[in-house]
Amino acid sequence: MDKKTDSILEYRNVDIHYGKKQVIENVSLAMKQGEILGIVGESGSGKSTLIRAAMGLLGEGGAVTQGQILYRGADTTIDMTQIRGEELRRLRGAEIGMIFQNAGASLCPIRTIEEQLYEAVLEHESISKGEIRDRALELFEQLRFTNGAQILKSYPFEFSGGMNQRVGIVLAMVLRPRLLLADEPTSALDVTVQLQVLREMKKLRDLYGTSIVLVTHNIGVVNHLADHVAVMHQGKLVECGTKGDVLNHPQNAYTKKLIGSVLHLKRS
Amino acid sequence: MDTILEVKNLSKQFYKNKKLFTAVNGISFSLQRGECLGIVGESGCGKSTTVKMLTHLLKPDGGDIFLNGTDIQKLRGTSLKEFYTEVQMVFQVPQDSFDPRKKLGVSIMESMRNHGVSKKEAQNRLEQLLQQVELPLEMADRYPNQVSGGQCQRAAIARALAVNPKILICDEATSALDVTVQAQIIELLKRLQKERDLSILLISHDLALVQHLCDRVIVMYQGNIVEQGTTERVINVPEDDYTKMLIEAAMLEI
Repeated sequence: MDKKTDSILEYRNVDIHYGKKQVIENVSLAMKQGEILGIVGESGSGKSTLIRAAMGLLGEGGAVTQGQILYRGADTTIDMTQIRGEELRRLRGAEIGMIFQNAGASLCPIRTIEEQLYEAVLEHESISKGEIRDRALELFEQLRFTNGAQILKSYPFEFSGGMNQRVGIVLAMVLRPRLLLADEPTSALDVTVQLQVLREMKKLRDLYGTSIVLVTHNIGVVNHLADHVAVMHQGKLVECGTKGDVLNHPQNAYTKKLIGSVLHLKRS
Repeated sequence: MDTILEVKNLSKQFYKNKKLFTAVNGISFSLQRGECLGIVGESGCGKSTTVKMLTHLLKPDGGDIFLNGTDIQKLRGTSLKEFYTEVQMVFQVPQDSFDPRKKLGVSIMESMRNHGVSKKEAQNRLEQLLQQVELPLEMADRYPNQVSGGQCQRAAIARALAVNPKILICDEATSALDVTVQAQIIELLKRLQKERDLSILLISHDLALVQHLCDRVIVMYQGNIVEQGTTERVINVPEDDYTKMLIEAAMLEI
C-alpha cells in the first residue's frame, strides 16, 4: 500500500481500546485519492471500529490509544483521532461523507428529509439549494424510489428500515464528498437495490473522484467494487493488497479460509 | 420421487391502512421427498407469509396445503400435534429458536418430552443429536446467549431434528452468520439431508446459496410465483424479467 503523501487517508500504527479491552492492534493502512478500499472481515474483526475511528465516532469508552488516522483534506492534513465537535461538523458533508450501518438512526426524526438535506448544504455555499434538490431527486430515482419529491417532504419515521438506509446513502452522496466512509451500507437492503447503490458509488468515484472506504462482510461486493482490499481478523490487519492479489492469491491462512467460504453464483 | 408437500392456489390477504393488501396471490408448488426446494424473493414478496401458512401459524384465505396427501387445514387435536413433528423450522436469528431462560439441552429435549418421550430416552437422543450437529456435549448446559451464532444455529438444527421431522424449513437460516460459519452450517445441512432423507424448504435471498443447496427453485415477487424450475435452468436460462434482475443483482456486475 502506498504510504506517500498522495494518500488521502492513512492509518499509522493504530491501537484502539474500549476501556481496558484492546479491539484494534497496530493497524497501518493507506489509500490513494480516487481509490475504493474494501475492508472485509467477520464479526469481532474490528472493521467497523476501524472506520468509525476515522469518522471520529468511537462512542462511549472507545479511544485510539496509539497512532494516528490522517486525512489529507483539500487544504490541510487532519488527525481524525484528535478532531472534535466543531471541526468534525465542518468536515462532514462536503469533504467527508459517512454512511452508517443503521443509517436511519442517524437521521433526525423530527425534521423532513428536505430540511436535513439543506442543513448539510448550509456549510457549503457554492451549491444552491435547487441544485442539491435536483441531485437528490436524481439519486432517489436511481435507487428506485418512486416519488422523490414525496420523500423529501416526509419524515424518517414514515419509512421502513430499508428506505431510511437508502435515504441515508443519498444524503451522504449528494454533496459529492472527497472521501466517503461507508460502514455496511447495503447489508439491510434487497439485492436489487444493493446493486443500484453500488453502481452509484462507482459513478461517484468515476465521475467526481470520490475516494471510498467500504466496510463489508460481503466479499462479492468488494470483488466487484474495490481496487484494494484489507482483511481484518480479531483486531489485526492480516492481509492487504490489490483486489486481484488478495482475492485470487491470498497469502494469509485466515484470508484463504474466508475466500474459500464464499459461494459464487455460477452461470454457464 | 413422490410428493411430500403440495400447495394449491394458496392465498392470503391483510388489511393495511384500511386497504386490502394481497400478500400471497394464489400460488401453487410442490416439494418432493428428499428434495431441497429454494424459495427466493425480496422483501414483500410473500415468502414469510407463505411459510407461516405452511407451518400452520396463519390461516390461508384460499387454497390448499397437503402434507402426504392430508389437508393440513382440516387437522385437529392429536393429528395437529403430530403435524408439528412433521414440519420443523430453523430461523434466521439462531437465538429465536430458544427460550433465553432455558439451557440449550433442556430446549432440545422439550419437544421430545412434549411428545411422550421418556426422560432417559430424550437424554440419549440429545447426546446423539449433539453429535450429529457436531456440538460438544457441554453445549447442552449453556444458555443461548452464552454460545456463538454458529453454535446456536447447530443447536437450533438439533432442536428441529429432535422430533424426526419429514420437512425442515430453513428461513434465511444462514443469513445472520459469518461467511466461514455459513459454510459449515451449509455442509451440515447437506449431510443431514442425505443421512435422514429430509425434504428441505430453503427460503433465502442469496441465489448463490440456493444454487449450492437446492434442486429446484421458486422465485416470488409481490405475492406471485414468477418462475419455477430446476436451479440450473432458472439460473442459466431465466425466463421472467424479475428473475433476470435478481440474477443480475447476484452477479454484482457493477
